[in-house]
Amino acid sequence: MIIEELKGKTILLDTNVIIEFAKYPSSFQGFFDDLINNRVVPAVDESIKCEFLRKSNTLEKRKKKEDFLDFLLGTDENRTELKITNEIFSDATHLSNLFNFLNDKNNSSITDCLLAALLKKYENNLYLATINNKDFSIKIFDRVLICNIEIGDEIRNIGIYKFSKPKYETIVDRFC
Amino acid sequence: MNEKARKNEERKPLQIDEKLIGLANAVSGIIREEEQKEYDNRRAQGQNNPFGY
Repeated sequence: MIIEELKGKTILLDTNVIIEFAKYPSSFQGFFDDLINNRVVPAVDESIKCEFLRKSNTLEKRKKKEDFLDFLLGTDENRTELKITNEIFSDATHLSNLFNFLNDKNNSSITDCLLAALLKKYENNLYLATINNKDFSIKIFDRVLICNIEIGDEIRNIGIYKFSKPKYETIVDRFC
Repeated sequence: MNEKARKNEERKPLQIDEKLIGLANAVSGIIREEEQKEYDNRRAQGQNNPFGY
């Protein structure tokens, strides 16, 4: 399932992928085994972690979620966790403007925009896995792979995205 | 190869064992409860967008 270009690279797991894995772990085993067997490093950033943890209203619930992230991504010392800097925030605003330019009905969240900015910053090594495929327009990103996950009668489509500099530059030229 | 990359090389495929299933069940229960609460709050405020992620 994993394509050659992903091998040895880092892949951000969007919050929706982590949540679906919690709900249906057996269905996602093949997907995660494929990542690990191909040396793809699953990662999160601070915004995904925040989105996943922020609604807990007791320490016990938060701790359960942290244990789950430890299981999925490794514990702190060997986990890949990308930092959100001022530069990333600034670029996230710019990319959000482009998303709105491309689509009047754009409904991307701040987290989506931060992830987009991270993909732009690490364009050669970073990919994103998400189930909300409409949040990452193929007018700016390349969808390099679609992984189908069977969950009973339903199918979840995990899109794997990469920032495309040529597409981005074309949109920036049109943005005014 | 740096230390982090080496540790990733050593990672074993996920084991869907009783420990993980128990943890996943607990977390999914917490998430469903949070989603329901947010959905109820948004409905009470007259909004339609339920989860936001």
